[in-house]
Amino acid sequence: MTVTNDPRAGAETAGADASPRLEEFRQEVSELKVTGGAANPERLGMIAGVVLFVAAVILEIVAYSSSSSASDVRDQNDMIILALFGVVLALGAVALFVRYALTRWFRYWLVRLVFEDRQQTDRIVEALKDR
Amino acid sequence: MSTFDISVADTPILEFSGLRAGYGIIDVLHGVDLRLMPGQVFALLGPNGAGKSTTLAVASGQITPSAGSLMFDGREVNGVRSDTLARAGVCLVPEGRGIFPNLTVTENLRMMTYAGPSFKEVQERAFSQFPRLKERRKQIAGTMSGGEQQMLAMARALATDPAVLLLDELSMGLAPIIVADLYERVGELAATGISILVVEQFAQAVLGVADTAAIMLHGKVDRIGPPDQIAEELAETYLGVT
Repeated sequence: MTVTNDPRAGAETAGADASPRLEEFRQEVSELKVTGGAANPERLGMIAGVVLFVAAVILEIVAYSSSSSASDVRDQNDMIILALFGVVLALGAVALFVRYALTRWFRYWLVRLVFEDRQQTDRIVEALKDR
Repeated sequence: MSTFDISVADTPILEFSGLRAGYGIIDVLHGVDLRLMPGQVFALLGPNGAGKSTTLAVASGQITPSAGSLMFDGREVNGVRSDTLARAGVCLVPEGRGIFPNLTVTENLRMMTYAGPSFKEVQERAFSQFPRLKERRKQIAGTMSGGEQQMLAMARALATDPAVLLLDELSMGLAPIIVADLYERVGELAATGISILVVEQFAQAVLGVADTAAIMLHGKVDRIGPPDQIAEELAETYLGVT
């Protein structure tokens, strides 16, 4: 069996010389503003949630060790505020993680439903053809 | 063969390089490589579920690649919005015709004035390409025959003066004689310089007008070559004949 893998095979075609429309298209493509996109934003959101949670835990440990070694009440008050900030950060991180994990999971579920629905439709069409 | 300028044609108008894409966490395309040259008709063939329609969805900007590159005229455009690409001149005729079945032919054509051309221009382009639509212009699109609906879908696409045309399963549900007629029009369009990527499950009709053909299997381009060679290999691919 002969297999060709040359993507340019058969590339020479009629009418392919640069038409005004082609030149216009090239110009428009060169001026496109491209962001690069993100095919899987849920994954990034989940990673951000984990990173922020780890940061919050570190903050809590730092606040605890600093407060226990501080003799001045004002320093201890600062550490308490820092610890409270850590708690808020941890709660926010958990919310972020849950939000994107659920989106990811529901998206997967939706794809599965659509796929099964299509399969079912195909089966029904086949069954009707045989009648 | 025309006055083909190889320096111009060196840069593909549309190129996929190691492209992976899918729906959410599920990748459907697993490293697709293909190049559509200016003015070329490229036929992408393969069985149901091979990833052909997803390939077109990526090319039209509806799905963002998760890896690899989508390039137009040598420029990577991953993440570009589908409406931006449509305005630039990339036009998709989706599977199932993509017309408004409860509107008349005229109303369907009027919807295409979003891209900039006046309604008069849209009508002129559509009726010059498909005179039968002029006779049916007051008819509700959903009541026309399958072939006429596909003509309307093509006419709507051509009304935007596309530079790259993406056709998804043009032959679906149509009689062979109508399919042959539609692909004859596709060949004529390519001769005017429009680059066409056509996806088909049933190959015979498109291989007659294609310059290059490829077989797609399991989210990857399995073989690329001249249409006659690919036609021979199709039976082996579908039926497992060696």
